[in-house]
Amino acid sequence: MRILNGYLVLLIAAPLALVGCDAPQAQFSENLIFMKLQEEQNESFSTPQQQAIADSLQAMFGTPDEPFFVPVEGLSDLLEVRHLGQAAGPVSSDEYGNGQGLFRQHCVHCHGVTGNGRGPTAAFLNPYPRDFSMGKFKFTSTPVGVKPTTEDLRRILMNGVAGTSMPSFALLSEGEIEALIDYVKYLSVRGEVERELMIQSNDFDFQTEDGATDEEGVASFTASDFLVGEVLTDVVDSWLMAESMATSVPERPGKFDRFSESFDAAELVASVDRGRKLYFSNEAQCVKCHGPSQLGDGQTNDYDDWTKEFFDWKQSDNESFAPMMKAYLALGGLKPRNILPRNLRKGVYRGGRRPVDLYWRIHNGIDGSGMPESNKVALNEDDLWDLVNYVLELPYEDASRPGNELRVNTKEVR
Amino acid sequence: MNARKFQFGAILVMASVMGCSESNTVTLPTATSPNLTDSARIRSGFEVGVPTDNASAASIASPTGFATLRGSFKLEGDPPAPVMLTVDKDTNVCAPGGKPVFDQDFVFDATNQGIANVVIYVEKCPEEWVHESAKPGDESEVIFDQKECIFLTRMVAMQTSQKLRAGNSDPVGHNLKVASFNQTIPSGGFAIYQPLKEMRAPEEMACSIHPWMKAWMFTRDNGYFAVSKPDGSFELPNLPAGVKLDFRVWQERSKAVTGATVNGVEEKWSKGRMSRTLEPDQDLNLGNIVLNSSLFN
Repeated sequence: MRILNGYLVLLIAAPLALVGCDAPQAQFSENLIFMKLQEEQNESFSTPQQQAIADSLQAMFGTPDEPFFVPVEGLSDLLEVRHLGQAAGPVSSDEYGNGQGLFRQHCVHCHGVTGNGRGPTAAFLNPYPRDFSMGKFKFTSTPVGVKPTTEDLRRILMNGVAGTSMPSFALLSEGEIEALIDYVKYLSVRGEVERELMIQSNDFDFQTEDGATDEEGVASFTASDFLVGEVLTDVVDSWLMAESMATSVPERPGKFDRFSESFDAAELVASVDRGRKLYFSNEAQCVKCHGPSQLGDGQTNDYDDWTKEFFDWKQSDNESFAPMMKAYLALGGLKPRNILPRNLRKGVYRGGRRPVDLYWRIHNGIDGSGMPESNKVALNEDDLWDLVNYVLELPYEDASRPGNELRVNTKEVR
Repeated sequence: MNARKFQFGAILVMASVMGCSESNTVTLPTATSPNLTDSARIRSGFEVGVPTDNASAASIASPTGFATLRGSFKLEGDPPAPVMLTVDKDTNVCAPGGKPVFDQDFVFDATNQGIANVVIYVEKCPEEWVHESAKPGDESEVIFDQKECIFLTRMVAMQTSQKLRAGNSDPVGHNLKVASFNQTIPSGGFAIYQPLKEMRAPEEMACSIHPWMKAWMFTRDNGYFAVSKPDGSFELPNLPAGVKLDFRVWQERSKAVTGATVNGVEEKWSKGRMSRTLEPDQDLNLGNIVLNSSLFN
C-alpha cells in the first residue's frame, strides 16, 4: 500500500517537474482557417509552400515579442515603429514606469495574440471580438471597402463599443493609446498580408513534378520585389489611402440641435415625421432589415463577412456542410452566429451615438455587415438628417418605454 | 460483484480507445513554425533593398503583332442537378405563384452542349503589349439589372475604369453588395458601382435583403477577358502575338477549370492556366473546348 502511494505521488509529480514553470514564448498563430479555404478552392498546400509563407511572415513582421515592420514608403504616415515595441512583448515597465506589453495586458484575452479575434475569452462573448486580419472594421467614417482612419480607431479605443464587451480605454495615457492604435494597424496589416500570401502562393510553383522543393519558385516568392513590392505595399497603401477618404459630413442644421440658438422644435418634429416616412419608403428601405417595429427583426438570417467567408452557412442541407463545419470548428473557428440588424428602440449605438456617427452609418453602410450605404441617387443629405433625427427620437417613443404604461397600475414604493 | 466491475472497466477502456469521433473525411492543415535562418535571410533582402535582376526582364521577348483566339466551351457528360433556392422574403415578387426558383450556377444549353458564363482572361500582360482596343481606360457604362429577385446578368466582366449602372426592375427594393461596395437600390432606381481595383478572380455579388440572389463580378485593368455566350463561344481579339500568353479559365461551380479536351487532345490546366503562343495575324479557333462534367460536381 505504501509503495503504491509512493508511485502515485511520483506519477503526479513527475509531469509537473518536467513541464516546469516557464511560460512558453508567445507565437503568432497561422490562419489555418483561411488556408483550409484556399485548399478547398485550389490544391492542398505543399510543405515548402506553407514553410515559405511562414518564413516570409516572420521576416516581414517578426514575433509578438519582437515586432518588425519593413521600412516601406509612407510607413511613418501609417505608424511609428517604436510604438510597436511599446505595445508588443510581455507585460512589464521600463525604468521610467512606462508600461510595456500594452497589447498583451489589455487586448490579448479577447482579440488574441495574433489579433484574429480568437483570444481565450472570445468564445464567451456576444458579439465576438473583432478579427483584425481581414482588414475590415465596422464603425468607421470611411466608405465600405476602405480602411478606417486613425481617428476612427482612436474613437473606438476611447469610447469603447456600446452594447458589446469592448470597453473604453480612456483611462490609458495618450501615448499608450497611440501605441495600441499602431499595434492594431500592425496586426491588421500582418493578417491581410498573410491572407494575400496564401492566395497568391497558388500562382507559384513550390514543388517540382517529383515532389522535390522548387528552389527557384521559393526564391521568387520570398523575393523582396514580391513580398514588399507587391503584397505589402498594396496593403499599406490601402491604409494610407483611407486617411483622405473619410466621409465629410455636412453640418447638422442648427434647427435640429437642442443646444443651438437656432433650435426650432417644430422643425425637428417635422423632420422626425419625414424620417419616419423615409424609414418605410422604397428609397431608404430601412424597414426591410430593421423591421416594421424598428426592433431589428426584419432580417435575422444573415451572417457577417467574417463568418460568411468560409462557406455558405445557409446551405446546411448540403452534403459537404457538416465535415466543413467540423473542420472550421476544429481549426479554432468560433460558432457562427447570425448578425442581427440593430434594435433601434434601445438607444444603444455601437459605433457612437452622436448625430454624425449615425449619419456615417447610414451614408456609408457598415463594412462587414449587411448594412448597405444609402442610395446616392434617391436620397440627399437632408433626407439623411431626417433619418438621423428619427432614429434619435425612437428610444423616446412610448412604444420604446413600456414601463411608462405600467406605472399607472403600480404603487410607488419609496 | 467482481465480474461486474470487470465488465464495467472493460467497457470504459473500450470506449476510451474507440473515442467518439465519426469518420472525418476533411483533412485539416497543421501549423508550421517559421525557420529562423531562412526568415533572417529573407529579411536581409528587405533591408538592403536590392532590386532584383532586371536583366531578366530584358530577356523576355516582345510581341510581334496581334492575333485572335476563339473557341466554344462544351460539356461532356451530364450537367449537374439544378439546386433549388430558398426564397423566403417578398415571395409574391420573388417566387410568383409559388414557383420554385433554381440556382443558375451552371447555365447549359442542351441543344449544343454549350456552357455559358465561363470566363477566360489573360493573366499577366505588361501594359506595353496591350492593343489599343483593349487598353485600360474604357469608361463606358455596363448596364446591370434585376427582376423577380434574380440578377439578370450572371457573370459581369468589365474593366476597372468602367462603371456598373445597377438598376432595379422589381417592385421591391434591393441592395447590391459586391467587393467593396454595398448600396441600396430602390425599386425603379439605380446605383453606380465604380471598381477600386483589378480582381484576381471573379467575386460574388449579393443582395442582403434577398440572400439567395447571386451573380459574379470580374474587373480587369485591360480588356483581355471574355465571358462565354449561351452556346459556349467566346472571342478574344487583338491579343499580343509571338509571346507565350497564360490564360485563366474560370467557371463559378468549378472555380478554376483545371483541364479540358481541345481538338481531341486532353490538356491539364494547372490552376485553370492554359498557355498558348499565337502567330501575328492568326485567328486561332480552338474549336470545341470540351469540359468534363466531373469538374462541376
